[in-house]
Order: sequence, then C-alpha cells, then structure tokens
Amino acid sequence: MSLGYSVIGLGVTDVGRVGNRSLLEFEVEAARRAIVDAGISREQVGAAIQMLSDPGGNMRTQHDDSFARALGLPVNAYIDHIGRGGEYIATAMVLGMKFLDLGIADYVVVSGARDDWSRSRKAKAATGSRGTGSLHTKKEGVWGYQNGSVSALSFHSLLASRHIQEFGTSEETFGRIAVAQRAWAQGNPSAQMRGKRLDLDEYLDSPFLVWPYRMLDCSVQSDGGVAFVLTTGERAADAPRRVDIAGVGFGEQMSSLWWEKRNYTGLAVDKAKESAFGQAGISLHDIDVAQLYDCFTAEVLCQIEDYGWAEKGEAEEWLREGNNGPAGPVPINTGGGLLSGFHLGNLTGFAEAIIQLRGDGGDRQVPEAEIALVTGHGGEIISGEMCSIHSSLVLTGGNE
Amino acid sequence: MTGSVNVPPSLTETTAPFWEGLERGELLVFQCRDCRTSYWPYAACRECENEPYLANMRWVAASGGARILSFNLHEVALSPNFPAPYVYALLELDEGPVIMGNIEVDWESENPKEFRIGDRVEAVFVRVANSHTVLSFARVSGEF
Repeated sequence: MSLGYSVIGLGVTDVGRVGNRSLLEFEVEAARRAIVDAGISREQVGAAIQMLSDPGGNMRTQHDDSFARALGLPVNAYIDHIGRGGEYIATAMVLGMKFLDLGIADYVVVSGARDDWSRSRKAKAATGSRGTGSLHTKKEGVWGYQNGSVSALSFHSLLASRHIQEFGTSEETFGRIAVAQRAWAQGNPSAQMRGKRLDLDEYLDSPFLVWPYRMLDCSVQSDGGVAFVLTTGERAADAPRRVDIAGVGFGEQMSSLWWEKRNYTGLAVDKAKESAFGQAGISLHDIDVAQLYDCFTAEVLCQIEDYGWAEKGEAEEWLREGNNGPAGPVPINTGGGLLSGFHLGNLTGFAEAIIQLRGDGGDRQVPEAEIALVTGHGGEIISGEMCSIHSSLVLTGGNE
Repeated sequence: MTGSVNVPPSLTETTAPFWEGLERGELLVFQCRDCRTSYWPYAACRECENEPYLANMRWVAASGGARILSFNLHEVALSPNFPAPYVYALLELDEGPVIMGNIEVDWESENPKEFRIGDRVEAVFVRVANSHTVLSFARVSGEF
C-alpha cells in the first residue's frame, strides 16, 4: 500500500499569530528543520521545491533568486512556484516524485509558508476594513469586486447559501462543524483557538457577517511554514519515522464548467478520490484520520457528503451524531483545521496527518492512526471567483 | 442601492467591452458568430469549431432577464468601500451564462433572506457617481 515514496522528515515553524517574519524566513526554517528531522545531510538533497500559489498580481508571483539564495542548498533543481489556491502538497508531491524517478534527486525538500496573518492585519489597519478575508489580495477584471465581493467570504458564502436552499440545511449543521473542530483544537498546542472553547449555542448566538456565514464559519489567518523531505521507499526503508505515500489524486471542478450550471453543491472530489483511493487500494472506511480542506464550514460539509460518509444533503444527522469530533469514529481535522487551528493552505492538514501517523499528536492523538487522508482546496466553483482544484492524498504510517 | 462606491474596475482588452456596455445600459455577453451560443465572461466557443475561435466571437447585448442561482447578504461592511447591507448574487441569464451582480432590495418591505433560488430578476444599471456603472438586478414579481 505504497507508491514507493516516503516522507522521512517534517519541519514546522512557529505558526499562527507570529508576525515580523518573512515568507522566506519561514520557508528556510521549515526546510532546514525537515532536513534535520530526516536525519540526512544537506548535501544529500538533490532538489528543492517552494510551494507558492495564488498568482494574484502581488509579490507572490515574482520569480527571483531569493528562494535558492536563502535556502542555500547544493541542489540540481530549484522550483520556486507550485500550487493552486490552498492546494500545495499534492502538486508539489507529484513533481518531487518525478525528480526521484528520473534520478535528478535522491532526496527532495519541499517547503511552503504563508504570512497572511501579518499581511491581513496590516491591510485592515490601513483601510479600516474588517472581516476575516485575505483583504491584501484582490481579484481584478470582471469578477465581482465592484459589486462588493471584497473577500473570500463574499463569494464562498454563496456555496453555503445554495446548499441551504437545495437541501434545507440548518444553521446547526454548519455550527456543528465549527464546534467539533474547535474541540479538536483544544488538544493542539499550535492551534490559534486553543483555550477558546465553543458550544453550539454560542455559535447560534453569534452575529452574521455575510449571511448565511458567521465569523465562526470562517478560517483563521496565519503566519508560518511547513516543509517535508521526500525520498524513494527504498532509501526510506530504514528511516525510523517514515510515512509512505499511498495515493495521490486530483479533481477539477472546471471539468463540469461552472457556467454549465450542472452542479452547485458538489466539490471536485470524485476523480481525486477514485485516483488516490484506487492507487492505495483502500475504501473510505479504511481511513483513520481525515484532514479535509476547510477554508469555510461548507467545504467540510460538502466533503463529508462527496467522499461518501453521508449522502448528499444528509450530513446533518451524521454531524448531529458527533461522528467527526474527538469522541467520534471519523476524526476530521484533528488539529482544529483551518477553522480553529492555523491556516497555511493544505500544509496545515498535511502536517497534522504526519503528526498523527507518527503518533506525535499528544492530547489529540487518534489511537492506532495508520491511514490518513489529506485534501487540498475545496474544488468548489459555484462562481468563477473560486479555485477549482481538489486533491486527495492518502498517507500511511510506515513502521508502526 | 448596491454597495458599490467609487472603485473603478481595471480594464483589459478582454474586460473593457463588458464595462463599456454597462455605461450604455447594456448587459453584454460573448457570443459565437457561428452557432450563437453565449458566454460570460470572455471564452472560446465549446459548442462548435468556429475557427479562428476567439476572433469569431462578439459581444452582444443580452435581454437582461435572469434567475437567482445563489445569493448572500452582507450584513457587515467588510470594506469601507462597500457600506452594508447589500446582497451579492449569482445569476443565470436567460441567454445561458452565469454572472455575478447585486440584487436591489427595498429594505422597508423586503427581507432578502426570503429570496429564493429561481426568483426572476431583471438587469438594472447602477451609476456610481463620477466613476463607472455596476450591474445589479431588480426582482420581478408576477408570472415566472
């Protein structure tokens, strides 16, 4: 149950409300930590991949020598941009695997970071804006800014609104997702919402920002970096804390184009799941922990339905039973996720999956976690403003 | 009244015709000259092999008729550029394409949370003082 590649090192910096640090500093620290964790020397690393996405007309789109210079590894290949929206891990993973296949590298270090907490805070201070969105990023062109679509909350809430109208979904359904993940966050020392407990009444009593969404339906904004070292299963055989790559898949919501009006509540899960689960030889019920991309609560709701834990439009009862919480049989977003943990795109869920499979989860450790699912970006594209990729990554504990 | 204030759109070769149309009170969609399928925004025709492709497309005025596909209610101003409350929506034009816009609300007599998917609306053109025109929609009562 492995594709023949393993993660042998993980590096995580301080995450959350960090401030006063550059993306590069996070990326370099995470990469160096991952190399040390892998127990290899820097000279053994043959390729370095920087996970940067969001070609949004800001500094993230620059290509220059900074990643290579700051990281300073004697590698054969530096790749300084990969990812799409909140999906970084699966795209970078596929590239890293090919470097290994072709003999370009024996070990690949992959690093990514965000400084959204710092940048969003500055943008809010400068403009007097409020809310939760990445106000420092702005879409241009025909998209809805001139109609007041000013942050991700402005258009992501259209997905929740549509789900409510199609299926009669209750406020409590969204609330239960927020509450369960907040409970998980209490066991994660890195979670931004650790120490801030939440119950369903508090959720329901909180005001709407953009109806049907409240602040509690939104993810946090974070600074921080995550890196990992990838190598072949052969080279990883003796690595004491390796995690194996069992399956990688992609789905693309643009395959059923948003303007064709065929689908407003389903994410691009089917193809991604089919590929990843097929490669891994698993079915849904084999998954011990699931780290589902959760930029907003509806993305979790839709993935619970689209992966098949509940029928479409029927996750309400499943959530009421508490299946996804700390006491439930399907642990979802065990570090608090993007909603209550920290938000580094799907670097968050990936890091949490590695921690769980290595048994390093402390208070939030899921017993006997051997198979993990990590997803990347929702792949929801109810409007053209949204990012349409969805990735599924299946990881298995190597040595347990 | 929509939420928009004086923040003009950035214009490019592929977006300017749409915004210029709004100035004239026209909602433009991008139509294939061969099979007449309409798109929004700028897109190549997927229904026929209309070589030379994008050069064989043109911006044409849509009827303005549409239905609500989804909507939200901005109860809090996320940006000082857009005073709340306002409704932001996804709409299906009668010609086929999906587009984004606002929905006009009579706040005295209407609660937007009672709007429904499928409600009929009609394009209206809201002039932002000394700047540009934005696309909004007014609800149409009566027969659907």
